[in-house]
Amino acid sequence: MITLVTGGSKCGKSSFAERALEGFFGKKYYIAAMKPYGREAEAAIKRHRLMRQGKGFETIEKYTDIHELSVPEESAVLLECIPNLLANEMFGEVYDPDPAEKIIDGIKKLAGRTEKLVIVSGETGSDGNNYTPETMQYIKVLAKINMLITEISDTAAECVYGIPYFLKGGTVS
Amino acid sequence: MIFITGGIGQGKRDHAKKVYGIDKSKMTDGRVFDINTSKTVECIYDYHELIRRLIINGIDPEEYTKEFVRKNAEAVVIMNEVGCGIIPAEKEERLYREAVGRCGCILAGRAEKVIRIICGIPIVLKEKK
Repeated sequence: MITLVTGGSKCGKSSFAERALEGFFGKKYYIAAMKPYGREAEAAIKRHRLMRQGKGFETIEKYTDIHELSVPEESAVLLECIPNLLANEMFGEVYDPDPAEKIIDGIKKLAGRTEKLVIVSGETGSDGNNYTPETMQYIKVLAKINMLITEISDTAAECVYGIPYFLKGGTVS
Repeated sequence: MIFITGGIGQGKRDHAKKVYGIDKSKMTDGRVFDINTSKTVECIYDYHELIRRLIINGIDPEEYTKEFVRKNAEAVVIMNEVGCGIIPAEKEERLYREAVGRCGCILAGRAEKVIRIICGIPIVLKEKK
């Protein structure tokens, strides 16, 4: 069971994703893709940690290569988030212009082992700005990954200021 | 409270006029709205611009918005949808964008009805029956 949560910045994607796993009583893992570099990243990580406190998640930090992860079968995973994961994959030591397939393979592998997989992604293509070719490529690949995840997901929702708008499926039971 | 959001130029104010009968002269611009007023408004648009001014004036936009929705429980609030883009390079822009997101959650949480306008088409995201 795959659920995709997308949407803009600070619009309640994480809380929605956590709520999607509220009723799950098995082992829950939180895969954190954000690198803890810089004050703002540290603050965001701290805020997300506080939000998850007491909700029974075990945190795994994994900034790239999610296909290497091995979680116990029948557990639940919250993967947060594709925009960070993609940036880490694309702009590592060597520029990788299109790691979509690699990321999707990792997701399929996780989905095959877990009871529930909730993926937090994001929307980056609607600010009307033109950026460097690498950044434009990033925007396109992120959109492509979102489409590919939606294809294999049971539920896909866009969060708009805290309200989930269902693009596919209609519940997150 | 009615909360109308959506991208730039999608027809948010037209919707407020057409559906809620608010004359454009009764719509208050977030750029000039008196931050310290105790008066209520019928309709405020470009609320995100008010958020920008709050930040410049050292006022916590989230606390302000919580108070605003208490005072203006009957208002129509119009705000651009921002945050569906690349994280800005400038710190001030990043903080502004995050503040708009959080304040948007407060407005949408309080509103009886939340509408998103795209190409002039309203999509109801929330409606309290």
